[in-house]
This record gives sequence, structure tokens and C-alpha cells, in this order.
Amino acid sequence: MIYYKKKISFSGLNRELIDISKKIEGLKLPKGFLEFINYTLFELFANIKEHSRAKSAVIEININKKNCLVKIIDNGIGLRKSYLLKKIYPKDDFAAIEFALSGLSTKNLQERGFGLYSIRKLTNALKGEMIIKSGFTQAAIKESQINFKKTAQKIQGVDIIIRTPVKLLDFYKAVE
Amino acid sequence: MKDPFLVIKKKHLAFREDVKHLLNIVQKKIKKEKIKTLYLDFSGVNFLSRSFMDEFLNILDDFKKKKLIIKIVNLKPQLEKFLWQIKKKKEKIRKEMNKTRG
Repeated sequence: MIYYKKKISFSGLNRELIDISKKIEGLKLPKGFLEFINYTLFELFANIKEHSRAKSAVIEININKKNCLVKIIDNGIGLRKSYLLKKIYPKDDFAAIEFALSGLSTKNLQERGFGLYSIRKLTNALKGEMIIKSGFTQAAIKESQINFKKTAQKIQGVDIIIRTPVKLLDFYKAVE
Repeated sequence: MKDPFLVIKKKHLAFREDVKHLLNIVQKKIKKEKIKTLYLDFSGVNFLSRSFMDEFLNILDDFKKKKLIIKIVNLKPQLEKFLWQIKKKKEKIRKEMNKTRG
């Protein structure tokens, strides 16, 4: 139904996101699934824009009748450095990913930071899978379980891969 | 006198810069028209990100402290529900933080 892959410069993120969103809104998707995709893309793009200091990002989206893939790779500073710059001190890349998944914001300790946390909840509700790579660490999240492992090569920024079936979703209940 | 209205023209509001932009427009209108209440018309808005809503709610609180009222009108029901959820979540976090501080 849609296949999209493109390297986008930092300054082009807004325009590209609106274009992608328009294309996706034109698809016939099960109830709640469009909200899931839009929510995921906007939150991930917001993370890149507001925290990553990336010069560019590679976006891949593949949605067919059964499955959905969203892959976003940025060449920014990575999760741990992003926290360190805000005086939040994860001891390593594992901890940085855990912080991000638990909803800890790099902006303000009291608020925000629900982007990846909510995407994880939504992906779980769809019985999908989410992979986050940053630094020397990879976290694979499936059925509420997180499996961490060391990566052989250092990931410069943050890589996020989300795979879900395309199906009905009670979005507003799942995102609570 | 008619209630002052401001129609939001963007369909997607997602980023912090969207909140800043909106805040600028609201502040200018309040200053220019010397009003205490402003209605923000969201009828053309299809999507609000969680990040946007979070920042936006902070701004509404700031206006409230200055005794200025910003009223949201014509927000799509599902977005209204979502905004309400986030508002409740923020209040819960604040209460927990206040408890921790004693």
C-alpha cells in the first residue's frame, strides 16, 4: 500500500513529515491504526528535532494490508549523551534506553518524556515489536519484555525499528 | 463586543516550535486587543502530538496564573479526549512530585 524510504536533512523534517502523514491518511486502515502511525511518526520526529542534534535521518515506512514497518535512523548524539547534556546521568547506554522507555524526559524531570514510552505501549497493544539501538546497545521489546544486548558496532545516533500487524486498535485506551 | 476568536490554520500540531508559534500569536492578540479571554478554534486541526499537548497545557497554566483565559473550542472529540487524558496524567505527576517534596 505504501513504501517510502528517504534520507531527510534536519531542515526538511517538518515538510517531509507532513507529506508522509498526508500519504498515510489517504490509506484505508483499520480504526485506530492511522492514529498509531501518525502518533509514532510525529513523536519520533519530535525526538529527532528536539533532542538528537542530528544533521539528517533516514526514514523507511512500509505498510501493506497485513504488516507495518517504521524504521527511523538518525545520526545525532544518541540517547545517553542527550540525557547527559540535560544533567541526567544514565550510567551506560543500557540505562539510557531504559530511561527513555520508562518515560523519563530529557527536558524536565517532572513532565514530558512520554514519546517512546507511549510508542512502546501502543506497539505492545498491537502485539508488535520495537527495537531501539543507541551507543553500543540494542533493546528489543516484544510482549512487554525487553531484551538488551551489546552491539558490535557503535550506533552514532538512535535507530528505531517498529514492526506491527496492521489491525484495529483502541488507540486512546492503549495510549493512556 | 464579540468574543475574540483565533482560528488555528495548521492541520498538524506536533512540535515545540508549533507551541512557541501559537504562543506568539496569542500574546500579540491579547496585547493588541486588550482582552482577558481568547477562544482558540481548533476545528481545522487533525492531529495533536503528545509533546505538543504537554507544552500547550503548560502554557494554558501560565496564562491562568496571569488571569488570562484561553478557551479551546471545536477540538475534534478524540483529540479532546486525548488532551483530557494528558491533563489528568500531568496533574497526577505533579501531585506525586509535591508529595515527594513533602
